Amino acid sequence: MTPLFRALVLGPLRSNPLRALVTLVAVGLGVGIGLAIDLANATAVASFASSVNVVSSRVNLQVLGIGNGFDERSLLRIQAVPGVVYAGPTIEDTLTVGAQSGVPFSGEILRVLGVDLLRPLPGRTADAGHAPGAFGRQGADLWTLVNGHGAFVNARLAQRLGWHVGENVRALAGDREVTLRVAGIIPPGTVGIDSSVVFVDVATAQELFDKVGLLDRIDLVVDPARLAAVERILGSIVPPGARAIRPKTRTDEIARMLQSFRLNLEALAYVALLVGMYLIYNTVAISVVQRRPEVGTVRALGATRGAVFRTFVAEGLLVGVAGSLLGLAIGAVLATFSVAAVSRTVDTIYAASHADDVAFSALPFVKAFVLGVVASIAAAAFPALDAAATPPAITMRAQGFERRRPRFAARAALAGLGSLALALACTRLPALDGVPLFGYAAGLLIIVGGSLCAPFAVGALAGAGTSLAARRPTLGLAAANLGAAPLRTAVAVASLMIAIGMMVAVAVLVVSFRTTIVAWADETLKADLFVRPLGLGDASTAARFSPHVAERIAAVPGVASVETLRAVDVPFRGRLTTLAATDLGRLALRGSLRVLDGADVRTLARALPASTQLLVSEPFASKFGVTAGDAVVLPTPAGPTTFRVAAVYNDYSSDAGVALLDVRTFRRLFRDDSINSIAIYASQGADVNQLRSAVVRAAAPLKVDVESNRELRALVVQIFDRTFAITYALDVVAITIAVLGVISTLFALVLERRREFGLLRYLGVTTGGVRGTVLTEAAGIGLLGAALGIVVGMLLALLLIFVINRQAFGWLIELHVPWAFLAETVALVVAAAIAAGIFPAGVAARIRTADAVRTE
Amino acid sequence: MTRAIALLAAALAFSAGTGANAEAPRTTAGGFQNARMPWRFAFPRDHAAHAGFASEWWYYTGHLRTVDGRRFGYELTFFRYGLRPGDPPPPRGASRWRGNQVYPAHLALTDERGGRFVYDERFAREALGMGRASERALDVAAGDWRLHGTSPFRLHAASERVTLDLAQTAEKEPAVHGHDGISLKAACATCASHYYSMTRLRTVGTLVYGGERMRVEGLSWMDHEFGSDELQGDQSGWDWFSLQLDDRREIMDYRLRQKDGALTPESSGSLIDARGGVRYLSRDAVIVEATGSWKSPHTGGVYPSGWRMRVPSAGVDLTLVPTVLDQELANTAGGVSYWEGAVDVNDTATGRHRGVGYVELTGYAGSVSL
Repeated sequence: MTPLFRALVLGPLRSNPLRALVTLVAVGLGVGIGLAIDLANATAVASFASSVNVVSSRVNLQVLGIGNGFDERSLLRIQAVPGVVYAGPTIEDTLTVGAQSGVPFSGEILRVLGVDLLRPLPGRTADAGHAPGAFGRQGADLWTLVNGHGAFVNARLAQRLGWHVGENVRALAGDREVTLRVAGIIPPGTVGIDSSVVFVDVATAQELFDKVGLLDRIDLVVDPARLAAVERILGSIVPPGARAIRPKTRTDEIARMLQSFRLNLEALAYVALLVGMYLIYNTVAISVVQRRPEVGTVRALGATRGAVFRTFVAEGLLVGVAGSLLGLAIGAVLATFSVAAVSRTVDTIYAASHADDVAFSALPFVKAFVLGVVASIAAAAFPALDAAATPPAITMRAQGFERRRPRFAARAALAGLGSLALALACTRLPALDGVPLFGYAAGLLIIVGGSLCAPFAVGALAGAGTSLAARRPTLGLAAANLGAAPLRTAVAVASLMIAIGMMVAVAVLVVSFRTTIVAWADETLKADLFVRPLGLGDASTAARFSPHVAERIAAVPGVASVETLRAVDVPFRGRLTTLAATDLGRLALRGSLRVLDGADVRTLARALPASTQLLVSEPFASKFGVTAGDAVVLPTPAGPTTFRVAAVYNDYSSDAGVALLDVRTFRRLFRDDSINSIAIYASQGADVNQLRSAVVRAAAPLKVDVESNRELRALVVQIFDRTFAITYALDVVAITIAVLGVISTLFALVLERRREFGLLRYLGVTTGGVRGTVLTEAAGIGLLGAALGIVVGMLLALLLIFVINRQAFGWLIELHVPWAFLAETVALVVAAAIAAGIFPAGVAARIRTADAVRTE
Repeated sequence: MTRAIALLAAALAFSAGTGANAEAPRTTAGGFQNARMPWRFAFPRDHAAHAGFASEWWYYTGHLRTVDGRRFGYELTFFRYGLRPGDPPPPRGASRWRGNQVYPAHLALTDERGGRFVYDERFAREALGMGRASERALDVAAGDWRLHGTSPFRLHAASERVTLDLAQTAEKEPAVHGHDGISLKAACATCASHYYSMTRLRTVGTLVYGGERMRVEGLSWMDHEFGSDELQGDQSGWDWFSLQLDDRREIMDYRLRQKDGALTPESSGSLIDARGGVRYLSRDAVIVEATGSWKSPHTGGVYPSGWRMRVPSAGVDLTLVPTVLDQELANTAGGVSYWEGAVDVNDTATGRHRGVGYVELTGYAGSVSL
């Protein structure tokens, strides 16, 4: 540590511990929230990946079926391929537990893996004395595992549900109630991180899920030296529709499915770090100003520019390292919450997963730390350069820096406008491999542009304030103070601007999206009643109904017609997308279809039934670059099949995209007549409430929930809100950091001008007057931050709605601005900024006249 | 003989927990047939499976020779485990993966010239016809590995590195061990098995190994044993010996070790004379001393390696030398590691070659608690 560093940096830090602390916390929060989101995202992917690798980390090839699986006899053919060391038959499906009738989301989804439980998992070296079997003995008797629906459950799950070994427990497999016998408890951490995974024997799984004779996949351990050869051979002998892929490929598909979601969340999270950067800038800039006489002295004594530069960069580094370390701790703690939030969201919109543990790995920590430190150094570099650039003669005078650059504000504003122009240019560029990289760049440019305009705005406000000084001395003083340090004030304004901007952008996006979805739901959800799996939030592929439910319901008096939907995940061009089947003729005629591109509804209604034409949703079209008239090849159990895209339609049900096929064609190709959701249309004049009870009775003893049109639409909104819950949390953090920034800035301004405040007191200004001056400054910062924040936020909102979401998810969103909500929250943030001035104001008011003026 | 996987069988079955002097019940506590009841063997019927018993195995070991004199030892074993006695018929629409039997199998080859030992295993259940053991005739399968026919017995097993196809003709009648068809294993009222050996099987066939397809011939030994609840908790493992002497005599001896190091009183053997007559050898009739030891680089277990075996009453004093030191089947699917290897049998006094043998050692690599 150089004496220079000790004198110029550590000294001031020691004398102003509070300000140092505020900066540390701000950086820590910025780094921490980024890390927490990163960890949550990694965990979401890992909990999917773990189900891929759950059988054994040595599984290096998988034969994956689609839809309802493939003939189990293919196992014989596949395990006979030379080079195959282990071939594990596997069924993967879900059960619901704890579902309450009529309560969406009341059920917990369990992911069930049916494997050969008699057989030791490859590479799992059991302790001597363990019986054969995937998990050793665990007190389980093997007969029950194979013939008595025995199940191994995670210790956490057992604890959560109050399950004990030897107990019979009930669960729902789609619409049927099934019984499992808890045969053993798996200690946490034994198999992946997803405690919702339940292991049963493949025999049990086939019976639970009505898949007797079928397998969903085969996990293979292949001699690594022959992997490529085995993969090639399997390619020609796997059943139609199935494919032999490496587990990594599957994990990648899943990661890609979640990619847009993860990236958007991460981008938001790191906005918080950006706000933290401004605070570091502020801290170092203030340090430079305060130490200017000392800098002059040391420069005069022969310290080089480089040494001065390094010293102040070192301050940024110190704050960055300490703040980032704090951030790592914060992130690790927050991760527990963010994992829950992210996994809930992923659960709601993508697939069942239940990550109880955070998938801690070094990479996110390293990434967060490096980002925090690099950002800190970058933030400190500007004021450090400035300190280094000033010659010794000038620095001997106390003031200077801010006033030496009268034209700085105007030049910065010009640069800011340039940045905004560049942002506009970026919005014209397409996504790269589905990632709206230029969109994110445009977002950053908008923030930078807005920030660069801040000094000019501060100057303008100060000018306006000064002109009013005659009537309101407090206002005049405040304006003069702000005007005296436009750069530092601008930094506080800018950080507030970013936070408010982010809030505005997210609010506008969410309200626009929500309004769009509500309108879409109103227009497309036309049935009177909907049947969904008991206790689940949506009619996802997580649970299936047996086909005769629909038949039974159709026979209920008062039911005019019944429409069913079946959805399966299919791989398409390296991603997973949804292939859904319904009666397309009826769908078109009913007017539930908003065609964006392609033939008109009448033509479609005639052409689609039983054809190999399909409809694709807007996200599908934009994600895969498909338009009406194109041909797409999708895998089916009947082999790869070419479909013609008849039209692109408007849809918000899945950002992975939906390809909609007529149910007759689907059943022919997939030999699968199960159902994921049922829509019921009542006859003219039928009482919907009575009909609902009749439907529930008709379905009994099968367990289903029946919802009215209104309830389902409310549920759509509820699902929507769940997915955005975490976004609100991020907003709050950014605003917290920004308010910390206001405190830090005002505090610095006060301390720096001890003498001026002292002089004012000496000249007869009351403590109230001093206090008022500081609070007025706070209000000025708050108002400016709000004004710029609204502008930047609206720009960001437009960017999010029309560029980023469009490119990442393919959503078409109509712009709706929640003016009243924005006004309220902006007022709240300004109030918070003023409140942030209270403490510094108190400090200013307590400055003792005699002390302060002694130096004068 | 109780063999490696007998430990598993004991773990699979329900603990008997019966006292030493209890009257022999018809079934074990788990409901399987008790092997501590007299058994009148009849062949070829008893070559086939006995599903009333919890566990059963067909153990083939032997010494093969190619035309140009290369020597190989092999072990091919098929196991059968019943999960529950009296298998109720599955309900309608049940999965074909249900079942009441599992069929592990082990294959090991000792390349005596190359000093190499390779092994592989299969694990089959009844689903899709992958595993079976007929109760009518000898017909056992674990995946694509198969054992069937009677004189000749036909064996087929193919793994990554070894393919073995053998036909075996019996030169002697089956030798039944123990008294009244009961081979005692411990003091408890169910601790026994029904156990016989085919001690001299003339073997011809083909071996594919190291990219070479070789005609082989030689001499094999087959053990067939079934029981339900054989071992007791205080047993730590066992040593098993089978010797085929050039004078057409054979010796089988099993030595069950207790945790305190002593041999259980039930340890015993058989001496088969040249005409096939079987003489029971009590624990103390056979004296075995280890002459060396070998530490496994795979499991860290320390095994005895090399023995002097004496049967004073039969004028036998032999030295047993492993043809390859490392013949350990480490971490098999059952989680059990054991040493099962070919040995050369020499006269202790003169050092002259007197025959061949196989030795099995369990309980040396990690504890095999029951």
